[in-house]
Amino acid sequence: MNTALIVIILLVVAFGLFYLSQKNAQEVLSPEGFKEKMKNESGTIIDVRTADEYKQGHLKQADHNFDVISGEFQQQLDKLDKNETYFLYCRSGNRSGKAAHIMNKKGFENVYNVGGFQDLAKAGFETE
Amino acid sequence: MILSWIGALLVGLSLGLLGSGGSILTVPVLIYLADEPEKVAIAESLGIVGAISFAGFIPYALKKQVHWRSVILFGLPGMAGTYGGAIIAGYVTGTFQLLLFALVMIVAAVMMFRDNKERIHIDGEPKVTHAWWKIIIEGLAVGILTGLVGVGGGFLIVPALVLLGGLPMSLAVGTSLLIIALKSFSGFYKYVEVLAELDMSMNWELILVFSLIGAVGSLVGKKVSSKISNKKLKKGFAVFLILMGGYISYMNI
Repeated sequence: MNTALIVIILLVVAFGLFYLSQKNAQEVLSPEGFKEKMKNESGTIIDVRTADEYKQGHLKQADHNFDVISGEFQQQLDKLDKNETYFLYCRSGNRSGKAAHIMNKKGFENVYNVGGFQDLAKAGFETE
Repeated sequence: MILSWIGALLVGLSLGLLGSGGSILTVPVLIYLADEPEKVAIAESLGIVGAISFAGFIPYALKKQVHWRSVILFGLPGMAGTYGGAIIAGYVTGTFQLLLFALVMIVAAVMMFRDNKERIHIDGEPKVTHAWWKIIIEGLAVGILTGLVGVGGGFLIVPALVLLGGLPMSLAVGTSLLIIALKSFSGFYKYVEVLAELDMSMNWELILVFSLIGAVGSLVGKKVSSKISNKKLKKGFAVFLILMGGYISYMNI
């Protein structure tokens, strides 16, 4: 086996896994769908990344920054109204998927995972 | 989660096949497949690399292929350095750490690519013994760097043991595995505190399962390694690491 072939195999495997991991972030609402929904009904946007990531750039419309991997996420949810609509995003859509799952379990019914921050920014959502 | 486990298996396989250097993939797998934030991924990587290295060390320990004086001489400064690196990690951004990681990855890859000579030649002739203070300073510096970027640093330690410590290759592998385990755990221990202060927490289940799969993968890789042309594999892997390092830098600048 020559070196070039090894490199190609490694790259294909790496990008294949990366692609699947992006796709796996289940039931993501597309940026367009998100825009539509925001027009018709009001909703709260939550950035579930770390405070550090939030500081480096976030959606202008974001209402909260509740870090899903911090221990406090559950308590922070207690402050929210369960009948409201919520839109969650993170870096890739994976953590917001987890966060949506947690919120569903807690009794929130209208929770949407709207995916990754970069994708939203690209789709025209204002950032700051 | 399944993708993270596949990633863990690949990390273990490359570790077993290539020796040092394979574990460097742990950080990108944790960030891009398990979707952990940079800082958490780097901390978790230290725990995982420590656990896999320790598992790899056990067979050498049973054969008593450990040079305890080197463990103390290289290990203690390394532990102090990694601990220090974890402290510094509390004051810098995750993006900075990840960029530093990409740089280390490229350096490791270049070292791997150029490594053509058969190291076994050095076996049995411990000639160069450097001043002890140089070894300590190097251990500290490498420790701080590896603590900041979450790698074991085996690619730096094995040559250092052979060249600086004058250790025969047969002893160097087991000894370096123990040193990597000790310093990784030292940094990991501090990270638990550092992350708690930053309101982040590690995914312990991920660390545990990743370590187990990685350890099994490295055993399999080691068994297979005798049947595969190691040089070409190493070169291919090195080029792959350089491309990955470039991609990670590009994504974060």
